[in-house]
Amino acid sequence: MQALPLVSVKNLSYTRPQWAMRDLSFSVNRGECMAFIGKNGSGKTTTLNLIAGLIKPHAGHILIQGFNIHTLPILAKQFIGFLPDQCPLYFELTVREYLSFIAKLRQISKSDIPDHVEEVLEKLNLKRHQHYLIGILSKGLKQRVGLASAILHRPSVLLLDEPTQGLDQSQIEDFQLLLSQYKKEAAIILSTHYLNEVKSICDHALQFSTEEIKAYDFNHCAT
Amino acid sequence: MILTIARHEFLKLFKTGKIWKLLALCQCLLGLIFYRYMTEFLLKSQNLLIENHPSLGITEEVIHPLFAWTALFFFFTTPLLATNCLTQERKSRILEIYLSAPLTATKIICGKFIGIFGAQIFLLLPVLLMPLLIAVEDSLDFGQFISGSLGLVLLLGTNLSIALFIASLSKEPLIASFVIFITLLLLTLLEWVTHFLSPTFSWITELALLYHCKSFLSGIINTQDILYYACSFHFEGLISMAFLRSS
Repeated sequence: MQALPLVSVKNLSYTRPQWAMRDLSFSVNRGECMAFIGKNGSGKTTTLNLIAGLIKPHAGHILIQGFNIHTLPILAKQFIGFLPDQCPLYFELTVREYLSFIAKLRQISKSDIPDHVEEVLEKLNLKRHQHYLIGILSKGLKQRVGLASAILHRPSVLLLDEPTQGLDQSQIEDFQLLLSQYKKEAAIILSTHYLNEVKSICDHALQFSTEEIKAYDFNHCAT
Repeated sequence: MILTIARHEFLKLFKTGKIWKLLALCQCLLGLIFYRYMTEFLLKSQNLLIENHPSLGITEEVIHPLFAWTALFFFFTTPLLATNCLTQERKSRILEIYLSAPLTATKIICGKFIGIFGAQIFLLLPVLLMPLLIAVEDSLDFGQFISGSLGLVLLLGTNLSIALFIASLSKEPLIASFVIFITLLLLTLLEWVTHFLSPTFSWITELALLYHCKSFLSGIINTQDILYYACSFHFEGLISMAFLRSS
């Protein structure tokens, strides 16, 4: 029996004044990474927001581990880790305080919170900065805190909107390494402008433009 | 979960220092008003004593107007606190933390309401201590003091639920603050407007915010007034949740 895809998008339609998306269907399985590529304003962020359940589609449905994100949002959102393009952070909190707060919002049990926080601090090399206020951190560190908050509850679906924007080359390499490791246990969808990133970690890509959406499969070298 | 969000909202105001600034302003302004009414009361009492007239009630002469000024002061702070926790977070996209988490709009709104309400009570408590200073030296009408305090607490809750409702609609904090302030002002002025209307429209008075607080300030706890505030809490809370859900 074929395993249920972690993300399943069927006949998704959404219209905006500058573009329209009609009948978009795709699925992402565990261990796969899909990239959304395309120019600014072509609909990458909107599609990620639709999958994250932040906005409602005009037609079609999105299933996260079999749960419809718009009819069963509480169940579906438990499996999603989302990092928007503009990291939502509380600058007045320290890294540890912020991650603990996110852990509570993600309904991680009180006794497990320290373990989860320690794990992401270790994974993202943030241990040295855990007691710093987020407001004084560099952009790269803030991005790492954002990613830490997205993977804190060990989600099986990770949605990342331009995660490497503003990072230097070594930070991008660290980030890609981390994503390659995380990919083994989850399905990742990321939007990006960097083709290197797509080639190094992604298995599939959707190229967004105002006229059409093209699909690429890197595993089988087909378009 | 509601308490986690409430605690975070409450403590956030302390971490950013906003609550201390508001507390300083509140104590400064209302302290001066309290001092002014106390001086006036003492002068009036001295004159009445000389003329052998019965003395004035300190609760009615000092506490009642102090509480009325306190209600007015909170018309300015409520928009700031409400927009800070909802509209500002929406603008800076921090609200996405809550919206992408497995939380219902009810939990988000209730958590934010309780957190900000707690902060308002924190600002109110030192004001309530001022009348207690009188009790050290003079006799204070505790019944009127307690009912006045209850009226203020209910008024603050209603103001906040209206403010959160408007804040949930807007994306611009400055505009939201202004609209909240104007709305609170209009809802207060409704009572005054009915003086110029025919008696058919006298029911409009019932919608006025301060109208229902007046009996509390005079020492009367009326179930009709409690019901008005409870319905306001509930109704505005519900529509805030609906708007947050659809945003």
